[in-house]
This record gives sequence, C-alpha cells and structure tokens, in this order.
Amino acid sequence: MKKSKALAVVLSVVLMAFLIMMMLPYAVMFVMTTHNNQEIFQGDILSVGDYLFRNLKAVFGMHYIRYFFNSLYIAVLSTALACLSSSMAAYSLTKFTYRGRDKIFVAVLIAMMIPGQLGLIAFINMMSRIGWVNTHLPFIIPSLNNTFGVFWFTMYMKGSVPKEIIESARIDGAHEIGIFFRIAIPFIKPAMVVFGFQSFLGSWNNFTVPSLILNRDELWTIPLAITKLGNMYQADYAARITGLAIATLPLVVILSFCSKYFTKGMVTGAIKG
Amino acid sequence: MGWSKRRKRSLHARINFWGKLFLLPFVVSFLAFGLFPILYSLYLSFMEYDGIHAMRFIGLENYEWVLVGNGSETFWRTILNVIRIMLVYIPLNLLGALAIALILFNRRTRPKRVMQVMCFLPSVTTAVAVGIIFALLFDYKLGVVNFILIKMGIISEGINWLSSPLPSLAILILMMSWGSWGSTALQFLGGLNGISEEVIEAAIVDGSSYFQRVVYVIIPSIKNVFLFVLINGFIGTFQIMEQPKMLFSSWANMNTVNWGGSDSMVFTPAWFLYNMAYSATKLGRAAAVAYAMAMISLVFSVLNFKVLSKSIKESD
Repeated sequence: MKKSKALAVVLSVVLMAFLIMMMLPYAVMFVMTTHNNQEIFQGDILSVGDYLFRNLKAVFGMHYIRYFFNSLYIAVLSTALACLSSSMAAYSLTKFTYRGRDKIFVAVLIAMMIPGQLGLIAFINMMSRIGWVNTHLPFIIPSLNNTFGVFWFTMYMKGSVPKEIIESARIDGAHEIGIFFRIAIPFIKPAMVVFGFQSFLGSWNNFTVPSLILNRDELWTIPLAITKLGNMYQADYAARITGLAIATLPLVVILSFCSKYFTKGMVTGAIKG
Repeated sequence: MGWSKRRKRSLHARINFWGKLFLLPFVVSFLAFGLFPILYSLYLSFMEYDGIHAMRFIGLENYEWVLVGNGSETFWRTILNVIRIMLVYIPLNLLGALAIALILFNRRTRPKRVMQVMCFLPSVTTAVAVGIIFALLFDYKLGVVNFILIKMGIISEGINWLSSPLPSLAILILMMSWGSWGSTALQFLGGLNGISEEVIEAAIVDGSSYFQRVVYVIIPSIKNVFLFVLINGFIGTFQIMEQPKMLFSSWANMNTVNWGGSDSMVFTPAWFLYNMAYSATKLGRAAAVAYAMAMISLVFSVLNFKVLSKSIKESD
C-alpha cells in the first residue's frame, strides 16, 4: 500500500513538471516581449529585460487595438448567435413533437461528419457575389448554422429540462418565448458556458475564412494581424513578438475565469463508455 | 364537447407552431450556409470558373487534373504526407493523453484544477500563433532550444531545425501533440470519470496489479471515448493548415530555407486547398480538390471505424 502511495505522489510531481514544461513556449514568448531586438538576436532570453513598455508602445502604434476590437466584437456576436440558434433548435427537437423531427436530428448528425472545407470555395464565391466580401458579415451570420451546437444542446437538454415544468408554465398562461428564456435556458447553463467558450474560441482563432474574405487592413482580425506582423513591424522583432503575446492573452484570461464551469463540464463528459 | 376538442387541437397546433419556429433560424442558416455551399461546390467542380467570366462546363476535367493529371503529383503527395504524419502523431497523442489522464484520475494528484487549466491552455491558442511560436523556439539563431542545447554543451553550434525534412516533420508533429495532449487528456478524463466505482474496486479486491487494471478494466470501459478521439484525430489531421503554414513561413527567421513548399513533406491537403482558394483563378479545380480530399478522408474514416469497432467488439 505504501509503495503505491509513494508512486502516486511521484507521478503527480512528474505530471506537474511535464505540464510546466508544456508552458515553456508561453514563458519564452512573454519573456521575449521584455527585450529589444538586439538582446533577442544575441539569444539572451533567459532573463527578464526592461523593454516591455517600449515594445507595447510600438505595437499599439500600429492599429493593433482596432484588430483586437474587430476580433472581439465578431466573436461576441457570433457566439451569441450560435448559442441562441443552437439552443433554440435543440429545445425544439427535444421538447416538441412534430412531423419530421427525428429526420431533422439524423440530418444534423450526418452533417456533423462532413468536413467544413468542402463548401469553402463555394462559400467564398457566394460571399463575393452577394457583396459581403470585405465586411465582417460572413463571420457573424453563418454562425447561426452550428450543427455541433445543436447536437451538444440536444444531448444536454434530453436529460435536464423536465417537461412537467414547461407544461405547468403553459397552463399558467406563460408565453412560449418566456418559457424558453426563463425556464429552459437556466437548466442548461453549464452546457452553455462550455459551448459558448468553444464558440468564442473558434471565432477568435478563425484564420482561413477571414484571410480569404478580407482585403482592407482596417477590417483585419487578430489571426490575420498575426501573420502580417512581419509587414506591420518589419524588422522590429521585439514588437512582432509582443504583438503575438498580446494576441494569445485574451483566451488565457477567459480560460482562467471560466475554468470552474469548464472543467466540470468537460470532464464529466458527454461521451460515456 | 366539440368546442373543447377544437380548443385542444388548436392549443396543440399553437405549441407545435412555436416548436417549429424555434427550429427556424438554425434550419434556414443550415440550408443557406451549410447545404447550399456543399452542393454549389460540387456544381463548381465540373466547371471552369475564375470568378469573373462565365462558367464553362468541362465535366470531369478538373477531377482528372487532381487525381491523375498535372495536379496529381502534388495532391497525392499531400495525402502521403498526412498519412505519414498521422502514423506518428495519432499514437503519440493517444498514449501521451492517456498517461496524463490516468495520472489526473488518481485521487492523490494535486492541484487538479490548475493542472486541468494547464492542460487546456495549448489547445486554446490561435493556430497561427502556435506555428510562429514554435518557429521561434526552434529558430537557428533566436531559438531557445538551440540556446539551451549549446549552453548544456551538447552541441557547439545551433541546429538548423527547420531547413531539413526530418527535423521539420518532427517539429510539426511535436507542435501538434503539444496542442492536443492536454485537451485529449481531458476528454479521456471525462470517460474515466464515467466508469463506475464498483468495477474498479472489484478488480482491486481480486488482487490485480495497477497495470492489469488499466489494461483489462479501464481501457475497455472508455472504448467509446477512445474511438471518438481516434476518428476525430484522423479527420482533424487532414484539415491542418495553419500550423504548418506558419511554422514554415520564415516569419520569425531569415536564416532558414522555407520548407513549406508544395514539394515538401509537410504540405498538407488543407494547405493545398487553401493556396488554390487564395489564388482564386481556377475555382472549379479548387472545388474538385476539396471533393477529392473529402472523399479520401471519408474513405479513411469509414475504414478506420470499421476496423476499430470490429477489434473492439472482438475484445469484449
């Protein structure tokens, strides 16, 4: 018994060490932001320098805040739309009965298996034909179409929103929309936090579609700005790296805030053995 | 009597009306942004189209170009590349994630929440950023890895990681694993948490060793999660584009040869498709590439699913 206790502690320490090592790329990147170009080229990166402020000034001097804001509002809007549309669809599929309901669910399952890149070319062409090129609309409106979201919320809602409460609310004369927002939604809060986070993540990190749609640089999102950092700051490697670090920060922050809901939601697992 | 029946029916109809209304936003956007582009892509793949002039029907010419014609050498190379990457990446990812999950599962491992956040962190980082970060880490002159290796005296001069094929491939696989070990581990953890206590305790009482318990009790219990992760791994690897593209974009380094060319070992199908979409001159061809890619990835997934579910059934 004692041997296995000791082994467990050792493994715990090993895992911690391993995880800390996995954080190395972040650590290196953040340390690099405190140095200037010369020090970076000398390879002197294991100590903390004092150029952070100067680097930050250089970064923000170039429209960076605008790209940040672009990514932010796009992610917020598309997450809101995805959550709304998917939860409403799941609500419909689980709490109502009408002809064709089950067939729609099967269609959703099949659609989930189709790779997104299949429709990419056509999607870009469509956007250019309806004049949505060089706008942010192609990233916001299509987020209403989230088959994974519908699947996710359906699985969750099947078990968690009791039909009796809904029916008694109806008898009490509540309006259907009110029932949805005030009764059904509170029951699925954890699922919504997890999904909302993933959705925000997907929107924030989206590179492919924005790079094919946007030409004007004031419309850029963060991933695009990252790839153009070379053009923006040219030889100023320190500024480039600082820009990179700032771009990765928001998700780190959000993750730490949501971690409670998140780890509970992810780890209790929607997929059981 | 008839009056209340009519009322009941109209109440039911009213409820169903709302039911369908709730479904509407999703269905409409699915048809417009999901189904239609897929069908339109198929249509385009039989056309010659540059986005400006009129379309011209050319039948299977695009598919011919991709599968056996001038584009085929590149196309099949991307398929080979992805298969080669998967052969190493998928087992590496699964075993590493399983090990992490098993340690996390143990009661004595602390602090759990901090570890879980650290696990998840790499997978939330923007893919383009990850590519650049790793290019920085392994840079010939600026890279930490070379710096540490030189300081430790293992080598006297920095290794030019990104300018030779095998190290580049290794770094790509490392980068992919780095990004997925943690989140895959958390998925496994979810499956492990679903195993009932009694089963494990019975195995302990029977006098089994830890290793035996892992192999004969735990792994079979999470076979669904395993399968899910495996299939997703295959599908996902086919679609990797941003990490390799940024890794080899010589963004961070002026010292290495750009290895992301179309004749390299790291050119993925998704990257090939992206290049064609970006240059936007032969849209019909690009659509054909997308469909060819999807077909192959589908065949792959189905094959894997069949093989794996058969072997899992046999071990039951």
